[in-house]
Amino acid sequence: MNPIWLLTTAILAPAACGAFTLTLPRRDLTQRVGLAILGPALSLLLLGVFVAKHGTDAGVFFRAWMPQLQLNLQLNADRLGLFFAFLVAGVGLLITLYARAYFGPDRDALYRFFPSLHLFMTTMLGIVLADNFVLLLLFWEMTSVSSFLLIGWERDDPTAVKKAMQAFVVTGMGGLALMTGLILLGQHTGQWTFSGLFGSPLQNDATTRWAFVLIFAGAAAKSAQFPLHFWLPGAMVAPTPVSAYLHSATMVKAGVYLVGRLWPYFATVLPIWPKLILGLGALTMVYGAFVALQKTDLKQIFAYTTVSQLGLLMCMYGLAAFTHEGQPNLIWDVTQVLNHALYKAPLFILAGAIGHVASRQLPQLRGFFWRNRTSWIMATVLLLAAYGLAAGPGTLSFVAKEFFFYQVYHAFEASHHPAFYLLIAASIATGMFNVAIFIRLATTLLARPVVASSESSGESEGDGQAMVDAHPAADAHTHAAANAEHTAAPLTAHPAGHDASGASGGGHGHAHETGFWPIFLWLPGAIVVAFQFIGGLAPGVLDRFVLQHLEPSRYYERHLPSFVDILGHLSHPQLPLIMSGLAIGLGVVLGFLPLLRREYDDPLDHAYPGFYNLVTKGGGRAFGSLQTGHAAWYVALVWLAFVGMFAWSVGFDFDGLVRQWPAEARFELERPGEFGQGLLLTFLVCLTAILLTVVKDRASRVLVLGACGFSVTAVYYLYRAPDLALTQISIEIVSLVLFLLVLSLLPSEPPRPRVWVMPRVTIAVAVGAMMFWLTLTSSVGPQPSGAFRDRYGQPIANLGEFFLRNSYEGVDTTAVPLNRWGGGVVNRAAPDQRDTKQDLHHGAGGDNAVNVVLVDLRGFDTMGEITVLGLAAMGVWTILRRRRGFKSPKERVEEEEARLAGKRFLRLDIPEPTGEPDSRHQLRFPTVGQVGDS
Amino acid sequence: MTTVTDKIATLWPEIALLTGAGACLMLGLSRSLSWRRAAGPVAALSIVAAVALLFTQGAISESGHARAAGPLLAQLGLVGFARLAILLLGFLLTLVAGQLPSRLDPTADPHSPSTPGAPAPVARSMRGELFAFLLFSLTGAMLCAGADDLVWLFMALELTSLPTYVLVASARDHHEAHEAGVKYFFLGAMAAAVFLYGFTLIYGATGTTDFESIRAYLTHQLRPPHHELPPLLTAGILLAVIGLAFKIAAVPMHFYVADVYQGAAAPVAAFLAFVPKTAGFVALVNLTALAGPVHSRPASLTWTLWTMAALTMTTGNVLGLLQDNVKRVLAYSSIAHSGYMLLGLISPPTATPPLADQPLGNGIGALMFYLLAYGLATLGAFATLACLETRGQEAQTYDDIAGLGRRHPALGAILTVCVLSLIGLPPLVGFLGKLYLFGSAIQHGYLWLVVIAVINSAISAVYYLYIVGACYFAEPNEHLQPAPTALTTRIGAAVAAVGAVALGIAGGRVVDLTHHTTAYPMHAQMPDDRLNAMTQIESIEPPTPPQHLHLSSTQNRRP
Repeated sequence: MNPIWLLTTAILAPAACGAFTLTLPRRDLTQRVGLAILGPALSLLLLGVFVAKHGTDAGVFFRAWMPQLQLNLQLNADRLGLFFAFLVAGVGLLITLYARAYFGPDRDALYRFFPSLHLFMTTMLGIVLADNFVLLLLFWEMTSVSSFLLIGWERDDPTAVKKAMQAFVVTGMGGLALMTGLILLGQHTGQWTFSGLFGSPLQNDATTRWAFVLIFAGAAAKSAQFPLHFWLPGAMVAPTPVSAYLHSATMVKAGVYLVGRLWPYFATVLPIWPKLILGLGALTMVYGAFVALQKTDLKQIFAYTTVSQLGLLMCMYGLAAFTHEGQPNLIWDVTQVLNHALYKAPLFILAGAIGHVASRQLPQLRGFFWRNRTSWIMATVLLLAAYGLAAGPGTLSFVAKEFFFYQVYHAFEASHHPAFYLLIAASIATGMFNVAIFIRLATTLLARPVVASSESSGESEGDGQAMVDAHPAADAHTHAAANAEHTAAPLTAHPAGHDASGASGGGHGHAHETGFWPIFLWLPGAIVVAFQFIGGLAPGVLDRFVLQHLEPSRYYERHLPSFVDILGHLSHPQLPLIMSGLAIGLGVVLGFLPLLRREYDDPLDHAYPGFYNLVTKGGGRAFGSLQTGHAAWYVALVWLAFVGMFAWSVGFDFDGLVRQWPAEARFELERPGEFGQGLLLTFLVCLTAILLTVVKDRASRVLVLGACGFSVTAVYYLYRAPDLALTQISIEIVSLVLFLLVLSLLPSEPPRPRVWVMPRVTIAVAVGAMMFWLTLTSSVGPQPSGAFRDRYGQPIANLGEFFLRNSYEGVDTTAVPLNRWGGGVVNRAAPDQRDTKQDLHHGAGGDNAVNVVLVDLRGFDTMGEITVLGLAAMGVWTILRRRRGFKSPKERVEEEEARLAGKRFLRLDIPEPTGEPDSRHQLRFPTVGQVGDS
Repeated sequence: MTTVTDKIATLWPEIALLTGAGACLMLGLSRSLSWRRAAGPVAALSIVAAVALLFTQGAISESGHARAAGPLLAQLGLVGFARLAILLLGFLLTLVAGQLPSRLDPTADPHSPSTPGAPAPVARSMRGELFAFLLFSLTGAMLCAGADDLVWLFMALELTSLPTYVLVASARDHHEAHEAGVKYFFLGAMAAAVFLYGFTLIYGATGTTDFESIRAYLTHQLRPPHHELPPLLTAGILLAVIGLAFKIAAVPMHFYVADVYQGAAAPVAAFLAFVPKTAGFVALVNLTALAGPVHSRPASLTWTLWTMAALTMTTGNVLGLLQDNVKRVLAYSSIAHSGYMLLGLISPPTATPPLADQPLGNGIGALMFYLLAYGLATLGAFATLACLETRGQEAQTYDDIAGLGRRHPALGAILTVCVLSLIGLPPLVGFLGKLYLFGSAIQHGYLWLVVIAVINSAISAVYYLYIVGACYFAEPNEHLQPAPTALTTRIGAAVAAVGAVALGIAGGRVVDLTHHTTAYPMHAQMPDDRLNAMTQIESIEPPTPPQHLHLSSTQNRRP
């Protein structure tokens, strides 16, 4: 098969199989599980075939998809990608089996579960094999969706849905940051693939730095780095198979994978790489372990250790920025990732299993080891995995931690930066916390089930340990219970829903199964944890079959030819081994001490609710107070925006819009006395306009309006527009009479509610002033140049002058129009050939510029206005006539009565708002009384 | 020179729509029910006819241009693409509104208190004339796309909006609808006044209303190095932009949106979310193009759009988060998406080589693509709401649609797909839209704006997921049931959802199309004869001292 289709099929197989399970009838449980297993199995098989045929350095496979948006099906099956792909498919297979045992024969659950889980598998495989940036993004965002579906599994539990949303928002925002970063990188370098980046080495410039920061933000959100880590413990409300798979072994590794994919390009180029990654990584590492120690819920403990381990993995890549003996300072990074999966997945699997049969609360698990026939197996596997967590000697984890310490040591040697003391301390502290967690788990699980304090005092050492543990554990229990009660901490609240129901023996609403399937509650964990010890005790085996093929750190091949050889280094104690010893020793001591045993509430748990509240409360108040639902208020806002816009543009161009033109505009007064009269009339107009807003009575207001209109008429007359004055005066008279007529029919005015007058006045004045200014600017202000020309092609200074010049003399008909609709006109004839006589009198031929503008320059407009007015009048007339004609006698009588009562003649059927004014439902409109007198 | 007849000859699709609208108007007012019922199919047919005419016309009128070779679609140009998008979405909208008129009771006089709320006899009701308003508005939007003159643009914008005022008020028998109609009308009229005022200032500054002449004027009058626009022109463009913000539902003209969408019938709300928005954006593209190529645009314009984009998306998303009414949520999402689309508006394609060839960098293309993506998804969401009712009322709140996915899986799936596409999740069309849009904005250096948009997208995810959550994660609402006689609505919704998926997986051609139809030459496109005429005029122009060329000089230019 063509390699690209081989890989694509491997990617799509799980999702396809998952989707096919939906077609099976719900009762076909075995077929469903079979088909579900087929998905990851097929992926594994195809990946195996691929490696067998093409090896692990096969290069890049390309097929165009949407090259327009740089989206192509370009896959890069190199060692790093293949390693992750095998991890995803392999653990996926085991989790599928585990899910069958976990959910039991719950048909509905499995019906829903496999499609979601397998969709996730596909997206994860896509991420690790994608070479193209956009393809990576596509799968990356899809993991957020499938993660959302799986975290919100308990769909009737509001907490679960809330936590799912929190995870989605955090990782989704990270995904979008990643998108921004990758686009930035792609556009900056012109390369849209990781492999392509080899061809164009990066520079340490601002764009690259920004791209890196954004990409890292995406990776950090996905990989739960401080301070975005809080979504991961929150995501533990998901069923345990999901936690084991997505939130420990695979999805959270996507960020680590991305950083691992990018370090060869960035690490040595950007100085910000080690600073950012080491800083956040180290903080995450210590903080996660510190919180984990103080949790009592098994899943919470493991969630925070996951956070911690993710911090460590990030640090590991951060250290790659330094060099050691001429090579990048990175040792066996894939081994580190593998190691984490090999102990964290079993831990979760067993946490779920134990929660299934007993409880997940540590205080309730005292002596679980001794409880029954299967409990000792579960407890053993859990403790073996926890031994891996503690990086005890003999496990792969020990080796991996040793590698990490070596890296820290080498980087310290290389730079001798004082901050490395902090990093060394942080590494030791993390190791110490992990060991302490193991000790506490062991002492709790192995404690004798019945604890009688008076008897146990003289017993064996193991019981002595149990004693030490007994008190604080009980304390922690009560504390946790209290916590659950009155803070309803989501993490402790959940067990009431699903897993902890196992404590009462119920499981998931189904009886405990017997027979074949229940062994898969612990078997997958046992299988995986076995590799821990194989890796630790017989490293050659792991090296031979896995790491030699998949470990991409070929940079080290010269320096440390094989995985086995590095163990030789361990026999010569150096600082790293001392660090390990210190961590184990301190951890054992801390484990037995009564320190740090109270339930710790991670303050960042409140980060998302806090952010949400900030947005809804703060933002809601800020924006919502504008969104009142009052039409009048909206109108005010629109005008404000209008004025604001003008102020804004004036702010940008003060010279052009304000300062400049008055120097050029001329107020030419033709008669000396004219100005005084004009001033008086203008004063009258203004006075009446202001009075209008003050006067309360309707009739008086109409009269004042009339006074205003008549003053305007006088202004027209004064400035020699008698025709306009005539028009205006007739309209004024008619409207005044009509107004008074109608008012006499209206009911008496209801008392007006208090309105804020001053702001309204301010807005009105501002709008008026702005309009005035702009109109003035555009008519007498200078025009740029050549916008208007007179008939000789000379530019006319402004619009006002254009009208004046063209009102009598006018234009040259032989000219070529400058534009389609008239405007300026240019005579193309040479000046000496112009026939001046013919040119003259082609204007409007009117002396009165206002008249000419109305009936000539914009004559069509006036005609349109008249037409519209006429049509409207005809319409009104028709409606009125119809109304009279079609009215039933009864209606007429009623109307007559209403009229006699002096009420309801003009009735506007806009109802009053009903219900409480709620900022989210406001649809208010001024009531009838207010409409009449605006 | 283009004559009026030449111009009209390019308007056959619009003429087809107008004819259809006239027919619908007459059919809708007929006394016979069967005639009235024919109005819907006639409307749909006229849209189909318009599409056909658009294609023939695209083949004929543009074949003579420089872009001779290439597929038929690529010859359409921005105008053609926008018209095509409006027609296709318009067809879907007509489907969605298909049964709307029959749910209204023409005999019930809203002014008579006689039988409030009594079920209307469906057999007697049918307001076919509603389709006429749909078609009128679509015509307006298409004319907007083709506008090459300020007056034309204004008329087209008003033709788009005026029918929608009627639609809002009359397509639903509920007092909310009347109130929404009145609000929409008043604020719309004021916004129209604002942008008309802007237009007049543009005219005042350049002496012409013709886009080509304005551009030519600016090209020839404002030479380097100053590149300064007349301040009056800038002020005019700014006012026009702020007025057009009403059409696209952007801050500071967004106040009406939620109230109006809530009051309007769901199919009408879908119409409002797409058609006026498209008209507004196309007008904005044309107007901002007047200010010249991107590098010489006045800072005030760029900053206005920048601020508007940031405020619009934040306002929309924050307020969207507070709602419990899905229609209001979608209204605020409409605002928020306008904010994203403004990103495209400030990143127009340029002729500089690194940007010229690839779609990522062509913000106008991204804007057009996003409009399509947004239109499909939002249409699907509103159409789903239109398919549902609870206690005889339109389903509106989260509680109303609770358990939709469990009780009506198909409708739930449609709503979910549409909503996820609005979030921008792959492999849906919204993802490509965001990629295209953000990519273009980043290419133009608006990194901070993109970061704001990213944070906003995360906020928006919450309320979109509330919708999904209500569908699947909530206790089902007992009273939720499919609305009667809504077959075409359901078809419309399904087509929209399928479109969102299909375009997301195989939208490469459409991306190409949006890119090629909006690539750089659009802004400099000008028929040669007109350009020559301009040059001749300039050549005989009396020589003027260079300081006359821009306004910053304070010299008095009066003779």
